[in-house]
Amino acid sequence: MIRTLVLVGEGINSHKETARAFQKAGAEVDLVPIEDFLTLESFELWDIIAFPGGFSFGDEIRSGKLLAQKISQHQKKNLSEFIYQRKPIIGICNGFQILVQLGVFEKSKRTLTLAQNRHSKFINKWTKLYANKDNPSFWLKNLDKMNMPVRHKEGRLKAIKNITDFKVAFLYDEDINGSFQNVAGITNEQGNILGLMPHPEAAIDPEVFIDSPEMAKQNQILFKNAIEYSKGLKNEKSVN
Amino acid sequence: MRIDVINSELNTGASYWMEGDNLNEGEISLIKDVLRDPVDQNILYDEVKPNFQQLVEVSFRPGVTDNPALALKAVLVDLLPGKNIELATGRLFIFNQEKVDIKQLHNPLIERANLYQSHQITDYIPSPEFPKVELPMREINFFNFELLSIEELEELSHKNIWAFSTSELNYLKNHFTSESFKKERQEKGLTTEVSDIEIEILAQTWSEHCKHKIFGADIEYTESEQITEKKLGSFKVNSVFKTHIRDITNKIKKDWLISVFEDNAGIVRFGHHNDYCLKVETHNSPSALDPYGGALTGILGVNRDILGCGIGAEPIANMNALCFGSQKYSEKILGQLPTKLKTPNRILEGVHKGIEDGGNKSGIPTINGAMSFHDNYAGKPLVYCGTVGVIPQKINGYDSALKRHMPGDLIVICGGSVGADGIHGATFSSLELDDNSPATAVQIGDPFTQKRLTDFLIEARDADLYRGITDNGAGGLSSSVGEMAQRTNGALINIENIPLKYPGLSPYEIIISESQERMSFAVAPEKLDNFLKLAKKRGVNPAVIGHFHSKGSFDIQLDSKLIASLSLDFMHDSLPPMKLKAHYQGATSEKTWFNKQIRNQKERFEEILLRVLSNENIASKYHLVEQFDHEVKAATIQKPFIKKEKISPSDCGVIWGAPAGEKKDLGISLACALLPHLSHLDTYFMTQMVIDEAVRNLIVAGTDPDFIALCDNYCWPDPVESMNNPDGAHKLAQLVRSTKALADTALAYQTPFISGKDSMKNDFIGFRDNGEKLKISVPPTLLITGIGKVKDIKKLRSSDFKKPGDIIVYIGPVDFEQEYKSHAFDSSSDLPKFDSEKNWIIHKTVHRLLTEELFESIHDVSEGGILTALIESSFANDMSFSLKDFLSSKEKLAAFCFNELPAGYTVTIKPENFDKFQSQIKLPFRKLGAVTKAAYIEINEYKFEKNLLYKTWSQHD
Repeated sequence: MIRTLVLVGEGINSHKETARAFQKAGAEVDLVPIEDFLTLESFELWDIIAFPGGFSFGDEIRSGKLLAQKISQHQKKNLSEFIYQRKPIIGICNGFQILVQLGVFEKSKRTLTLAQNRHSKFINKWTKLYANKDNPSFWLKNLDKMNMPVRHKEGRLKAIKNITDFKVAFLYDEDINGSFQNVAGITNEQGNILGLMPHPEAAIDPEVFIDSPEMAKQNQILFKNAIEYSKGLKNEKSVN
Repeated sequence: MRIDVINSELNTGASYWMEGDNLNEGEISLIKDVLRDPVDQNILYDEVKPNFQQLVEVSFRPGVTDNPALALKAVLVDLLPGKNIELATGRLFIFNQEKVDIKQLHNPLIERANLYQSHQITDYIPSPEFPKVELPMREINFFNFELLSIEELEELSHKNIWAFSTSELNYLKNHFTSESFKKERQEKGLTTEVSDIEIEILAQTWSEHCKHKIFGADIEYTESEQITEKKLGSFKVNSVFKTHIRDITNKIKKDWLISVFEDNAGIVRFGHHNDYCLKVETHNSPSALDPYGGALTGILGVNRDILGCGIGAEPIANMNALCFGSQKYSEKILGQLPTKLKTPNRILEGVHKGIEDGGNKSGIPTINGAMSFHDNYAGKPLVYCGTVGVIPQKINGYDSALKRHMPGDLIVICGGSVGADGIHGATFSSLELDDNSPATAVQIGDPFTQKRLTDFLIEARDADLYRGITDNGAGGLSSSVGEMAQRTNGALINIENIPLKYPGLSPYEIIISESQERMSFAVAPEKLDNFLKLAKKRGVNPAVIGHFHSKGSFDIQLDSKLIASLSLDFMHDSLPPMKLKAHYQGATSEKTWFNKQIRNQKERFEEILLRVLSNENIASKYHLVEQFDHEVKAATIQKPFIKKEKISPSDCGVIWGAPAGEKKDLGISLACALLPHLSHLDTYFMTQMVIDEAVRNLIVAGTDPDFIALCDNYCWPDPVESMNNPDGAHKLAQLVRSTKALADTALAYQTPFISGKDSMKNDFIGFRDNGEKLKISVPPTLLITGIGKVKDIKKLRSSDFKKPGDIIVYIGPVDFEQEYKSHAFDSSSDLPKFDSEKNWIIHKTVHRLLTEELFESIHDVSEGGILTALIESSFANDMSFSLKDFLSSKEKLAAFCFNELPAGYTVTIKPENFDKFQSQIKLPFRKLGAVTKAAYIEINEYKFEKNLLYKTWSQHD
């Protein structure tokens, strides 16, 4: 069984639907409160870690910044080990902001951030996305056109020019917030860390779509991809 | 020490003050790394020099909740263990222009602002000092009722914002000078003088806000012989609440009613595994003073009502109804408002932001709402906030709707600490607003602390760590513990154990402070250790402040010495009802606070249409609603707007049950209605229309008409006659007519009430700049919120037209000859008929046809009439329609198109289903036309470009 750790607490609020999305895709899920997460001896029990959306620490100072500070203070080593093992990590919306503030996408210096939307407003709307075919990450396998909601105020990807640290994972089909080249989501170079502003976990059931409910399947694939990949990773380990 | 962070791209920044232990360079550098993002922010002076012309610094006044500082502190205690640092934050705005209006950037009631020129900020910002609260230590005051005359007591009551009436003061004087009282005091070892703690507790408990004295009053109703509206005759009513609301619910007797009018919210059994609760509150006075803080605390407050409902429910959906003065006032009209009063635009902006943060940051979707604009909301806005909660029917083997605390259980409070903010909220909102309203009644909510509290509460509930719970709202601990104590028949509070934000608060202030984000729990002694352990781990700041007993009194101790004690019977059950007279004079013409020019010339049909669509009450609110997260939790299956190619509004929000563990078919619907523009014509009719519209909004979403529960929220202008309020008896009569209609219509519709609230002093009294006195009273406003059960969400149809060729049908009363018109362009007093029995048959029939899947789209007819309903339905899929072939020319076209009749629906039907529909409906209906894909909407000889109509309706989006 593939086990997913989904973070909860300190203002995170999309943990339940994130847990449901992984469960529906076939994973076992542990909702782990942040205070408990910060004192874990190791992350070995888990195959996948998910940073859900929400308003960690009320989005104060800078979205994702304060929780990222806590995590890097207490769990830098375990997190680096998890990433080094190429295990999947996903950060959605505030989770993406946390990953950006943790600096997990860059090799050394921070070169990208998520800034306030160009129109400086929070938006909740459904948007069409395209998965980047040139990104070989397992997260994007069999994905093409997608449809899901965005719900954020600080989602404009801003990158210091000429950087090759990260790979584009998803593109909006229109300019919704002034994001760099309409980027909606990215992976790290190895492809095991995915961060995105839109909410795939909020669009895995046909019931919540206003139109084209058949698109729910695409969003389910995203979560299944991580599980399939994790199974492969486990087999690889047991063979070695 | 302070650190300033600048974002040069956005021309904004933040400042951070730190006070306390000294920090070394390494520690300061650690803090700087937390405060700025290296990609787009810089530390001022360290990394960038100030290169702007002007800078405005805005920071909180001492004692105002500083959320960024609270969040930052939670991280710094961890980053720099052992260091004691106090924090405060401010916002910076950078300008490179000549004129800067700092008034637009802050609210002086809670914030201080300073403007600096570039030469003043070359190497530091000369800001004010660290905002520290310094209160003089205050003693407990005692009052001797033997010596004080009624006049002196009246003066004290006014000065201290106790808001007692003269007859209440008489009642108090009699009680406090009686022999039995003196004897009771002696036995308890207390003086016969009464302390300010006791008086303040009574002032909160008896405030109109908490006790609803007008709804409980004995009222004699009479009416003028001449009225043309429905005649009710003369009668006496002992408590409109008991007679017209509670007794009606008892009569309707639905077996799915679990808890009504008893708890913080009403509970209904609409689920297989869960129950659902609903509560709607108002937060009008605080929103007038600080629109952002008022709305934010409104949302968080009603969320806590849900958290404190039964043994603790979880909020799953928010709704709001907001009433503002017109947003279109010219400078000339605005100039007539007192300068201290915030303009309707600023109020809307602040309230909107408060609703946004309150819902979004709490992770609760805002699935439904309404906005109403009326000139007479310019003095006081109305901010209704509602929440639906979910609770498993049984938790740990107990009925979850019941609180089970017993004598001996400990009182534990969790959440924020107590400060001077939010003192006298309950009594202050029971008075009319004036220029000198106290700033301490204003508060800023802290959604982050409340989210922590919510997560903790659900975890502790499921682990069975407590057995009683309530929220601390209006009246603070005096109300929350005072009410919980009724179950065990007593409680004792140790004041010194209550955590404070700063020293210097007097005991009465600690007891009545409404400081936010606190819940009170009743914990069994054997569970206390585990409860406290979990609470500390989840960072919710628990404190054991006393215990419940059964001595029949509410007792306050300070350092183990009894300092106040009140008999619970005296507090809650002794006050005799008010005796009031109501006289109805009949319809009045609508008076606005400024001299409004009423248009009287004849308009052409096309002019009317464009004016109706662009009317503030009808035009799209999408640009405002888009900022409310309406689908966090991934369960919102009917959203506030239908956004496809373009946007159509939807009538109702629907939450899917499955994510909360229900069967896949179940939906919970939530809708509301308010029609204040009808109140001056007749509140009886207004009320019928409001219930009818709320019910129809639910019906169109597939709600089963046998599973609808309502919540009534009254916001009235002062209905008690006095020197300052000469037409009080008429306003009270308007109230009685309204509650009577509530009773009559609910009985006909078989829709019980499960919860409600009333706010009776929605008047502003102030002075214009020229010294002239100005009173602005809100129009009598009733909000009805309905919650319903959708048995099969697959049957749900939205309001948007689906396919060209579909046939458009109107279902409803066919009474078009009447000249009554849309309020959007006329306010004639000619009211349409309202036949509850017939309407109810229409609603049941529409539901039956809907579940047989005969409709492709369905929309209710409300403001703007039939044509507005059709035009709204045409937008989302970019359709048109033609009414050409079906309208007889004899009918008065404008009346037909814009009439706001009760009980009407517009639906579309596939041509192949039309025969079946016709044979099944068994009610009068009108075939109107068909959906088309043309660029024009056609109505008789008129043709309207659909893009123009869309542009007119959505001009602000």
